[in-house]
Amino acid sequence: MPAEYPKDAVFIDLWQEKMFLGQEFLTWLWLASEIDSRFPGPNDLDVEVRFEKKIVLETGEGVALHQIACSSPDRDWSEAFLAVSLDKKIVKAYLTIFAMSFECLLALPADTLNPQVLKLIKGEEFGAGGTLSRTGRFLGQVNLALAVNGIIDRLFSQFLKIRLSADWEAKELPRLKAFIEPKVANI
Amino acid sequence: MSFLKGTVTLTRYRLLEIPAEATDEFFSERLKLNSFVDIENVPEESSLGWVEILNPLATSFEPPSFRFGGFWGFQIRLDRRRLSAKILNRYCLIEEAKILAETGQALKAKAKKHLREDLRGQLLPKVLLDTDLFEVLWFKKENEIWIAGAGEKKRLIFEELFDRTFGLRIRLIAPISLAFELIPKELGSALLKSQPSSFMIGEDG
Repeated sequence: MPAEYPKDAVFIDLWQEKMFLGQEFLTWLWLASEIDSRFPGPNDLDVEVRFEKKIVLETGEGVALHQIACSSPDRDWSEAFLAVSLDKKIVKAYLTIFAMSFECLLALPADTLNPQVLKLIKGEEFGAGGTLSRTGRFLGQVNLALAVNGIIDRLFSQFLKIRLSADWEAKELPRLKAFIEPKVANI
Repeated sequence: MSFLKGTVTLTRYRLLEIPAEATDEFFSERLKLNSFVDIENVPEESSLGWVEILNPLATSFEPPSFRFGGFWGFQIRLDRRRLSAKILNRYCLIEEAKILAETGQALKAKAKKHLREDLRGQLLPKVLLDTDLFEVLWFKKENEIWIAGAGEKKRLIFEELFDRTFGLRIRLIAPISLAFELIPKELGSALLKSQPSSFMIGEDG
């Protein structure tokens, strides 16, 4: 049985107060994917997650709040590793999800975790040669978006399972920090 | 960006109230009542309403146009035009000068106001309309609604039209609300008490 959303909570207040959840999820997903890009996906099939193009990080509060974008066409990410090691939070990232039957590139903002600029790339062509009707193409794209959202929800669920357990501070955070440490040691 | 174009940005909502009768008739009737009204030749600044998802020019809302297996789909259409104050002022000055030349008398404040409104009504239909379209998908089993777009403006447009059409409560799906749906009941309290962690090297927790 899922947990109940607190009835007396004002959504906007709780959303702001727990904004770090989405930021920590993206940070966890990025670092975990750099260690091992495969995650358990729906129907016991693994999915691969690869951060691409750009990671946007935020630091400070109020008037001191500012964002930095770390681009890395060759996925070197030195700047981003350094930023995270200085406790900057990931607020938006671009990633590719590779699943059994499709792959897609998307931007994921930490505040909503709703996919943006989701490019639906399918192994087989979506009626590009006129083989599928407009309705067929539309339904195919919706089904792909559903699959992508299902994967994101599942990854977030895996994160929450670790994040809300004693293992987060005892094992997972030290594991992630140990992975970053040598990458920033010589910067 | 849209599903048909192959690139889409999503905003997800959870439906907090289930309609008593989510039948084809229910949707057809509500959508028609709040369908988009064309303002091409009318002196209106904006028009907001529903159009069919695969045809933004159609508003008949026969069930096959919005019923797609596991979800219902519609499209929001917002047409807007803006007549700039600078242009309106220019036409007002020309007309006032004409009247002064014909009658020898300058217009009084009230008459100026009427003239301005008349001119506005004449000029508005000549301003080209800007059309914004975005898809809305309503997943039956999941009680989830997607809009193909993001940002506060789009959210407010959708929320206004959705409320006017269906009068049902919805809530944005954000990490905190999604977390409550994904974790077991016994972790609810831990989630509420959770505090930010630090990834800073050399710091614990």
